[in-house]
Amino acid sequence: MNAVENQVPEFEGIPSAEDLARIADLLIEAGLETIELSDGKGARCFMRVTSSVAKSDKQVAENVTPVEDLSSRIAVSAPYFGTLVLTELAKVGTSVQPGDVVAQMRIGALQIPVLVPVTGTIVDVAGEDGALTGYGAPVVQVEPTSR
Amino acid sequence: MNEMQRFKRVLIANRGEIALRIQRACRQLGLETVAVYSEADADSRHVREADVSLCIGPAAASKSYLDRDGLLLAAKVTGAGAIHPGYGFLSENADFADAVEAAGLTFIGPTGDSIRMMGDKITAKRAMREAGVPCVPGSDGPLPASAEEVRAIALEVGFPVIVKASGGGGGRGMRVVHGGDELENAVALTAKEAQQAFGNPTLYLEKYMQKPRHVEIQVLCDTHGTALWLGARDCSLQRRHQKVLEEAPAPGIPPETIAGIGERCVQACRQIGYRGAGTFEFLYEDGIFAFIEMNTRVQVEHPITEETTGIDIVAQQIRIAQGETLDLRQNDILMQGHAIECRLNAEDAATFMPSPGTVTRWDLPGGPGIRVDTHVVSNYTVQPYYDSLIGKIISYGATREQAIARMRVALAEMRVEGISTNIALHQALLADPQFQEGGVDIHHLERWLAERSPS
Repeated sequence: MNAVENQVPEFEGIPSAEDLARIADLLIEAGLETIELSDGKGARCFMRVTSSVAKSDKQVAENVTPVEDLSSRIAVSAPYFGTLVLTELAKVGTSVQPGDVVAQMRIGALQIPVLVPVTGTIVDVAGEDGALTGYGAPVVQVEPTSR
Repeated sequence: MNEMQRFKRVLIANRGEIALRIQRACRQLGLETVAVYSEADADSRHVREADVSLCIGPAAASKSYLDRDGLLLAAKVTGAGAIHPGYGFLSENADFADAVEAAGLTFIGPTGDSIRMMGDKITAKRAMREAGVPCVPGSDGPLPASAEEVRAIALEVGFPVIVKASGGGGGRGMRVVHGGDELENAVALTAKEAQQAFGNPTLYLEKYMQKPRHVEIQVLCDTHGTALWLGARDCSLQRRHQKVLEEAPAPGIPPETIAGIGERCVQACRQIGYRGAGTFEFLYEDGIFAFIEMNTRVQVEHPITEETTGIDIVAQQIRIAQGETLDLRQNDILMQGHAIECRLNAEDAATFMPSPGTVTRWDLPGGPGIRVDTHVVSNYTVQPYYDSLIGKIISYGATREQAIARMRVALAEMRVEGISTNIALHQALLADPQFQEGGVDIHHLERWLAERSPS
């Protein structure tokens, strides 16, 4: 089983809101702006993302007290279920970059990485090392770096 | 706890009322439960109450309740030794059943081979015919070329007959013939159409059942050669092939007739080595039973059989999967009284469109002979992603009249706010003189709805 396969939703009709959000995260993660999904029957879904990094930077810039603004924080959640194994990066205060692995979801020999989507600092570790963790559970929170 | 048990922890690969029903059966047998759920079902009662709960994916069923690999991985990571599929979702997926067993786990249901055999209508019907289960009378194969021979078959089957294309389906390539004078022409026309539409002119012929009832037989089989039938259910009240209200036994059909069919069903089970719970579905008209299909799982309407037999079907499924022997004989099974089930759906009373939303009031009925199987509690949010069944009210009485009377009181007591339900439909149905008389056919509900509609 491939972790990325699990993350990319199958295109069967209009994707749900959470699927759209996941696709958007993947696009940002891969440094892409647009994606077009199509199926054999001719249905097409075209998506464009304006980088959430840029968006949150803007929010931070407009805010007088950016550190207090929790809305700019990015929650990194479990892309699959399994036993959560935190890496050494998963500590409050660690600087992270897109693609950094903060944890692994483990099921036997299967390991699915939990990836950070943005550049920033880890401000909260919600995941519990060694705990059985469900899909979508919060693992860490990242405060994106202002540019 | 029994040292001989194959498993001590059961993963429930389903949601809603049946997940809670399975959890209760597990608990009563001293087994632990694993609730796997989608993000949309995080607040479900069985999820809160399970020994282990694990979110396995987003709301879309294809990525949660239908994700075969995900369910097997969830069983592995939670240490479950068995998987109960419930109904719907993967319950009749032969490959999943095989994959569960290949992973060293117990599938609480029949073997993949049994599911596969019953999933294919042609092999299922052949197996049933060989076992002596009555099927729709007909040509039992392709029609001969000679018009005289076709006529002889039709006369033996009895008019009206339906001429069907072997390669057809979905209501296409078939013609109802009411008398001998129409037959030759109808056969020629249907063959020509079948050739054009399906590239295959092969036809067969069956008795056309005009106003059949839906009558089904519940069976339970262990892995030691015991196969039992648990009586009949009448599920004729359907809308768009969805059952709305069911009752046990089937009104007006003599018990000895049901016993005869029941014996044929369990004989078929023994022949194919069936294990677990199953249901043989029949069309019934003018004393003739015609096998439609076998459901190789627990059914939504199983509680009415539990009420009339006193047998916990879900617990028996689990015990059979443990390898235990059914400690019952056919003569021990007393089918007594009458039970009715009303399926409660979150749907608009007029349009039947789903009515998801938060249930702000949920007052349940009670009293003697009333059982409610539901996962809904006050402030529960009915999700739009799944079917609209929110619960089942089951009434039991010594007689059919008492069961109806108790159900009417129960429906009047029930209070639901925040969403729309079909309670009023059930109340109107129970007041319908034809229903009260008993034995309506499968088209009755749609006819009755059409007559009631203002347009």
